[in-house]
Amino acid sequence: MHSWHVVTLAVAALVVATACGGGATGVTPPSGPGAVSGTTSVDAGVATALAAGGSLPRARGVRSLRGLAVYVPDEVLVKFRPSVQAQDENSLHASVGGRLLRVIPRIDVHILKLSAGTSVQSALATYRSSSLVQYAEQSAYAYALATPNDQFYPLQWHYPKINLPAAWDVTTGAPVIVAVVDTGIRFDHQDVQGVTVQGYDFIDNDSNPTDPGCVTAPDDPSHGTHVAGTIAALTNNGVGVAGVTWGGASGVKIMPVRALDGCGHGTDVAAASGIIYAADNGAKVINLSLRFLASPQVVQDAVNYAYNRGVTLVAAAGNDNGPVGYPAAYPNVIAVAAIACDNTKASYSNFGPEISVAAPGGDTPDCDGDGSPDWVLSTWWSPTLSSGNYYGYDQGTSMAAPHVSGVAALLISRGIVGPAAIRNRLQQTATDLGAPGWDPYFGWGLVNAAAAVGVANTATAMRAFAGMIGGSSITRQSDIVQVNAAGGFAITNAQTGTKSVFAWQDFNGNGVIDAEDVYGRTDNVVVNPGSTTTGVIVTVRRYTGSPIQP
Amino acid sequence: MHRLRLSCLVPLLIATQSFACPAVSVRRGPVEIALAASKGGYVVGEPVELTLTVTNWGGEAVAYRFNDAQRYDFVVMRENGTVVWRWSHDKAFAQVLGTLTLPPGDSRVYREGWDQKNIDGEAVVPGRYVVEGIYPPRRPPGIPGVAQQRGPRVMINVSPLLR
Repeated sequence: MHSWHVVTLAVAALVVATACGGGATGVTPPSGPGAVSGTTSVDAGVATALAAGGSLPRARGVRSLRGLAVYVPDEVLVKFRPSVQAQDENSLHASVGGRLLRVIPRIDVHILKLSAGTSVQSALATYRSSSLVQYAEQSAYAYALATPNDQFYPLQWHYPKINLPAAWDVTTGAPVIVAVVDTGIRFDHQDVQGVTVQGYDFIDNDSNPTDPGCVTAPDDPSHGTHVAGTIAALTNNGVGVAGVTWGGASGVKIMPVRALDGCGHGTDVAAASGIIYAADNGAKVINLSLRFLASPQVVQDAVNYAYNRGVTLVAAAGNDNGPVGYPAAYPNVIAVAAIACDNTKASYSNFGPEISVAAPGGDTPDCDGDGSPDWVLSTWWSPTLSSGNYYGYDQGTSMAAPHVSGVAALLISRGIVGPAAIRNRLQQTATDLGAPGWDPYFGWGLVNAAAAVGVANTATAMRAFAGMIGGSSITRQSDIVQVNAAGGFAITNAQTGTKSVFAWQDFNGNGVIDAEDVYGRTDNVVVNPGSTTTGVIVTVRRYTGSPIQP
Repeated sequence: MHRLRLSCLVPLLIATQSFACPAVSVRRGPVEIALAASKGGYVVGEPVELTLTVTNWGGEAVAYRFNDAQRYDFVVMRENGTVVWRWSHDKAFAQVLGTLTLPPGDSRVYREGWDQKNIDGEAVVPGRYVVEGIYPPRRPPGIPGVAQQRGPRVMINVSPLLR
């Protein structure tokens, strides 16, 4: 019995989109690294506007990337302390200029409409300064989480598992290139139309990385097609499956690089060549759902080459319920373990000190009670199937890795770039599973897409990086790192020389340093190779100049 | 249905002669695993063609489960057991679980070549070598509790070039 099942979609109705050249995000790869550490200092002009933890208070008109208003512009919520009398509450409302609309029963939260000319900021400041008030905040709009309309999306349990619907409210991806170094893909599948950029075939050494299928096992499905569909299947197109990113004309792009034959076998030379090709041709993420039995030096060299060019490499830990295999075990690769639908370790998933995070890979548990084990559903093809559009389930760390690659692409879409910063972000925001903190089975935990892209604190995290400024653009010369709650930062891979250090809070979330943001720059910071320049202080203030593209 | 086919016409026998066409099989229940080399004797540098055939001679289907895309392996050893080459040593395998179901009377044939180089890419010296066909593939080192069943073995001879 073949233990996979196929969902067949008989009609290919989608209009074929044109292939896209796919521009990468304008990242200058770091080289010759040094380190810089320091603190951010808040200019007095904005000090009062910064809330604890370094984030700005919620302001009017803040919009998410999808263009939806986050906050009701003239409405605040106030909760008084239990012993406060009604006349004192009304008196405070009157002094602020707020009209009580109603009180939410059970929790006694007052909803107030502010009079014309009364700013939310000043009203909140007044309420918060009163000893009568337990808390005050601006009223926020609620939106249904993004739910793609793809036919089989309800079967993709593995996306809600990593909080993707909430993440999709913030971003569904930008034209970031993700290389799938694998068996090639089926370009005729309706759910990858317009998703791909030019790749290469290192099995046949030509420019057509089409997966021909497995001669000795023609029932076996196209591994690369399944992996690619998880990363960036066309989504919200009414047919087939969704991807972690919503591939398409303006979405994440797949670069198919064929380094495994149709049976899923490949050599070290092919894999190394594929990694180098991807790094040289604009890929920002490389997915490696493969494992070597040995530790080929040539593959490690290729991994390091790509990493040093600013590429994030993600690999499957392996399926032996044993030590993590290569390339996942290399230091510059994010090693991904697999979980079942019930958040337990997948029985096959490898484990060890190299594990970074976990993601859904499927296993025998049946969480939805449909009588079948819950595996990962994605795009599908095999030589024994007639032409058409198929979807099928697979299980393995091969299926877990592309979830992480997809989230990495979402992070790049949000301006979190560079392999070190992306790894840190994935690890810091993961949902802890297993033993508290890091453990060898789940790493830092189950990848949490919503937390990673910053749903809870959209665009308000302050970040720092090194680079050079010229006119209205900045050439970034390090990863962008998070500024911690105490204002400190540590840039670990700045280019050496005399640089500027930037701190930036993209308050309006548009990826540009502009009037909505908090920004600061310290010039003439000398970065020496192999050492850390400490004590750098960057003073930030509200930015009032012309927009700068970081 | 795939019938058992060996590229060498000598039927299943244990090869001990250098220039006989070596082929041998082992039986695991209803399943026969046969290994054949294209020749018994080769000159230095001559490609060695290897064929591993798995046949279900029983009356019921037999299912195999695999941890990844690897289905088989070939190992070349010196007569003292020292491993010289392993087909999988430089291979990557897709990390997806898979199954293979062999219906009664059905076969799977896997062919690979050995270029007479060791795992470091150096040409081997003339002499006698033992080739083992492995099905299903052995797990990587360090995985406890996995019984490693010996596969069929044939012997080949590598001779110096005659001038």
